[in-house]
Amino acid sequence: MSTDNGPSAEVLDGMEDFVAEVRAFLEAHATRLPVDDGAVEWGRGEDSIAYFPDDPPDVDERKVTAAREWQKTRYDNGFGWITGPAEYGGRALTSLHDMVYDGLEAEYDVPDTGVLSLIGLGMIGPTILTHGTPEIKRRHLPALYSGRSIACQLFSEPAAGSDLASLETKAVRDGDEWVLTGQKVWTSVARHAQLGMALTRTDPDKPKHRGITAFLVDMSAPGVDVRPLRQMSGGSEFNEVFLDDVRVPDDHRLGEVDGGWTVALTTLMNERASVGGEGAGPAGKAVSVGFLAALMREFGQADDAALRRRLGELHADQAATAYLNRQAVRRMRAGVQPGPEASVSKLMYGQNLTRGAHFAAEVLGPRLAADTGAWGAYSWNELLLATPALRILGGTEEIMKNILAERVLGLPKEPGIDTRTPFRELRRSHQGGTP
Amino acid sequence: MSETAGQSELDDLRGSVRDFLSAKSGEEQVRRVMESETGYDEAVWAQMADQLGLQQLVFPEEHGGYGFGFAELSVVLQEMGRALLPSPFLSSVVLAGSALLAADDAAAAAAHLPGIASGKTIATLAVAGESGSWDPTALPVVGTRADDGWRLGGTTWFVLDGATADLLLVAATTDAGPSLFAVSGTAAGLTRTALRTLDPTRRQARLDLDGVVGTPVGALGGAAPVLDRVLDLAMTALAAEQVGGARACLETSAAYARDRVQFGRPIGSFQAVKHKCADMLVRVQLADAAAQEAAEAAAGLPGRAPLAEAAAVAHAVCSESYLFTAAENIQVHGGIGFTWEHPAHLYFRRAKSSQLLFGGPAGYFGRVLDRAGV
Amino acid sequence: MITSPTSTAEPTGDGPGLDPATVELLTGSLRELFAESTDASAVSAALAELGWTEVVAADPSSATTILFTEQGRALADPRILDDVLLDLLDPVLPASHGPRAVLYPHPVPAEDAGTVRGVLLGAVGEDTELVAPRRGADGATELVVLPAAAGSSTDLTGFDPGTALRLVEIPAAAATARRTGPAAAQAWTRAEAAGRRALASAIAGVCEAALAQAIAHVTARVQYSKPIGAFQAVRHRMSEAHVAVTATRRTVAAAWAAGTDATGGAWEARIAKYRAGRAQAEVLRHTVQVLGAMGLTLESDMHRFVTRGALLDLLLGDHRSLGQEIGADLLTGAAARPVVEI
Repeated sequence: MSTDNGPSAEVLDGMEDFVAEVRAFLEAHATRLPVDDGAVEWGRGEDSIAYFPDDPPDVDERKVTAAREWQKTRYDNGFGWITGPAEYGGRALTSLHDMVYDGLEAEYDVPDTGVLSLIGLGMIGPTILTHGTPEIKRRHLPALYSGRSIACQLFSEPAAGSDLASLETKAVRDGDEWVLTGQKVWTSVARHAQLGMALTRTDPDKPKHRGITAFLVDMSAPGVDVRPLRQMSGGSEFNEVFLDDVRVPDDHRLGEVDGGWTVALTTLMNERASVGGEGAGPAGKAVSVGFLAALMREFGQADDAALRRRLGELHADQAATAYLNRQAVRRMRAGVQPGPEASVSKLMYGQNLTRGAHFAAEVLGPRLAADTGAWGAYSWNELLLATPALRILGGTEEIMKNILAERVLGLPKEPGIDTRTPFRELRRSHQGGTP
Repeated sequence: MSETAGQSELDDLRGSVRDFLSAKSGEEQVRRVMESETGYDEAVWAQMADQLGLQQLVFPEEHGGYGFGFAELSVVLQEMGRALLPSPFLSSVVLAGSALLAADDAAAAAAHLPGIASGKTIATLAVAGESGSWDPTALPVVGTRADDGWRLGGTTWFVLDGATADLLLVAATTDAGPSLFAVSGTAAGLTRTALRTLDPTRRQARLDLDGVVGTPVGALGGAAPVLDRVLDLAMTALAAEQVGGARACLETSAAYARDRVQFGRPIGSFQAVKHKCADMLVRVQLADAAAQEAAEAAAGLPGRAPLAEAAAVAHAVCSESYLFTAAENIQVHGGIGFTWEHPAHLYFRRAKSSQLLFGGPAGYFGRVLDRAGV
Repeated sequence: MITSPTSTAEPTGDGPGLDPATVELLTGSLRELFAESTDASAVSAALAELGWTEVVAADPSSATTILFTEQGRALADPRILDDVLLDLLDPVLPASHGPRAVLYPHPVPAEDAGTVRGVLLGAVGEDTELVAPRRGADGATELVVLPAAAGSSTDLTGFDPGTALRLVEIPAAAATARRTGPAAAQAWTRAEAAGRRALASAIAGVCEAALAQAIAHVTARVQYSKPIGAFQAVRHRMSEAHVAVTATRRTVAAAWAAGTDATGGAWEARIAKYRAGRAQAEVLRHTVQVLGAMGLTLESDMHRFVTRGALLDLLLGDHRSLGQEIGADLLTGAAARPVVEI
């Protein structure tokens, strides 16, 4: 299977000038990684298959600082916001150029800018671009894309998970300001963020989708309290954010009063379509057929017919998922609207990782439950314990299947899902404290 | 060099084939034909060639074909799978046709391809023993040199359309290695027995050969690479057919879920049904992607996975996906899906049968690993 | 032979047995007992106070089933398992000179044949005697008594922090007693069977507690204006989990019913342990999923059930290994006796 580090030949076709520019920049500012020939050398490298990082705070800080610095370097050289408008430091190119850049950058040893880009640059930046006032855009977009400012998403709440529109954080107008009170949860990067995009309830007498307003919150404002959440997989990438009478100026409102749901949809739609990038990372590599075969050999199971068959099944699904992703890229190039492939891809991604981890568990048996000191054995727990998250975070599997069935197959919605009753009258979970 | 049609031409092709098959091979016709002696409608078969040029599609022009490639063939096979068309297309055009092309034997090609391309000759390939495996080192038929040529002896099983074919291409072990032989369907010493099959829309036969005359096709001892090539193309073709069938199951389920009312609402509003349909959609998308990659690799398009890998992946994923959707289709339909009169079981039979062709799951998962270098 | 339960345990002993009302009473008392403390010595003392020995004598199968089910439910210290095995091992061993503990076979045996590697369910004093099975030269199982002081023990780095498991390695030559021959082998077979039945019940208890929490959650949590338990996907998961637990209980009950043969019901006990091991994997997957993101945090209790279930599966044969063994035995002609009569 083609396991080259860079983007495929057909993506690069027609982009020679851009590629040359990117390479020149990368060569000047970073060192190239040794080429990954796909061969597995058992025992080489870090004994870690972490899906969620579990770094001590000082290591975490250093990584974030390095990420900010690299982002600034990119920005100063015209690669900070490849698809963004020039007036805010962007290059006004296409998402294909984005993909080409990412593919080339992957060949170099540079800090991982995910902490800035996954949420802030990928989702909140484009939302500000679409719904922000010129003043807001001028104030925040260059800061975001140059790494000075990190943004987080203040959306989910303890009682508003899958049903995000039933959120309860209040925003009450007071002169030129709004006063925000409530509790947000599952916020990545909140500890490092300067900016938070918050969804609030501004009119409980309207139906739930119609009484929501979006704001940009200064994370250093009085009343903002960030607390880490510990995951069962170890690590605490996510946080709770308590907003206690936090004052936000009206000029930091995004979009119309009570028009926040539209703004939220912009944010959610901007989740970068996973087209081929998902196989990367230690987790993706660990569940690849080469690695799992090496695992089988190392622990004396290479000849187990039943395991071989399951490995074949695993690999067939992974390969087909990769084909699906490549075909989506081709369609994108041809200007065809993406179909349900993106959700299918996402579902398969979670499934492939989960099944891969369970396969490894089967090979390892008791070495997984108790550390015998062997390399590449007990460390599988990092991934195994993270796999339930793949089917829950970023949209549960159940909700995603609902959406596929309703939007693609035209099946009727669950009856009784009420979009017209005023929010105040809706049945909600008991939530201690917040009215 | 094969021609490739653009997307709109492919859509047109799909449309004409679909219209033709709805008119000539709807459910009623399928049920009638599957009970017939030959297992296919000779008039419809002739029309497929004469009106639509389907058999000719992928053969080189020098042999009476149109010189198209796998992109077009995929579309045609998908529609045939969707309609459950009972016909010798897979055996004649795909198996025998690709064997003749891969054998690199100009005389044999000239002798047989025009007939196959025009639909006038029904041909098929006979390889497997009772285990069903396509292993060129374990062929059940033996070829021995005689004064006036070659004689074949042995029993080969699961020969698609073996009882009705005019031309049989038989793989046999010889002192020179595995070789391919052309045998006439009416040859002396040949006994053909139609097998009772799970899938009534696809005929299979057992061939008993006793001193049957065979004409070598291609180099003696050179059948292994030919069979490899045929298998790759056969898996790719079958994958397209399986996608067509799987999609038909998905569409039927979704339509039923939208219309059927129980407990005061369409059953598609119940989450369990919804999720079942979503699961089917995911598998169909995945299967479609796998089949497409293999077809494009077969058509020689750049940037695709190597054919050997893509074909194995397609065979595995499409077999599993078709079986899954066909089973779930019955489930969504509830009791009615379980009746003889409802078409769901016909798709299930075709799905199960297809899964078991060319050595079944042991075969395809093994090939996937093998071609991934494991 | 399988009675339909009207209470939480299923009396299947051959004797008069405990009546359902008594079973319910005892279950309640045990639940209170474990609520008081899950610490091993406190539990032992409380059981003695309850007159547990008499209860066991009256109906061993109900008593053991109830005890271990509640122990599992409460995520209590698993050490009480030792008593079940020692009960059957002590009669073939010399009189003890101090406290005894079972050294459970480590799933990954020591590379060096002269070393015994095993797992202790808790820390032991230097004067404790460890009882372990060993493969003798002739391939038969023998029993050895080893002084704890002769071994090196390390904290077993597992992912269940609620236990105090130790990994122990002792030279076999340090044994103070060795028992070989059919009597010893059979004693271990019977002890292992008894242990597997108890563990299967404990796993059922863990699953039931996890399931109860999941059901409470899906009943209370409201999304889209209704409890998420009203959504079919959730209901079906809960049903499947319930079936898995019920099947486990049935196989345990059947294992007890078969317990009177020479092997102590080894075949059925292995099946019960296998079934329980598979059930915990299935049930806990469902309960984690319906708890959504909350279930992924350390604040939620669910991870404790996940880790305990996995640990109990591992003792005396994890479900994957047992599945292989059962399959291999069936293929070599072992009579597949139906375990549960439908």
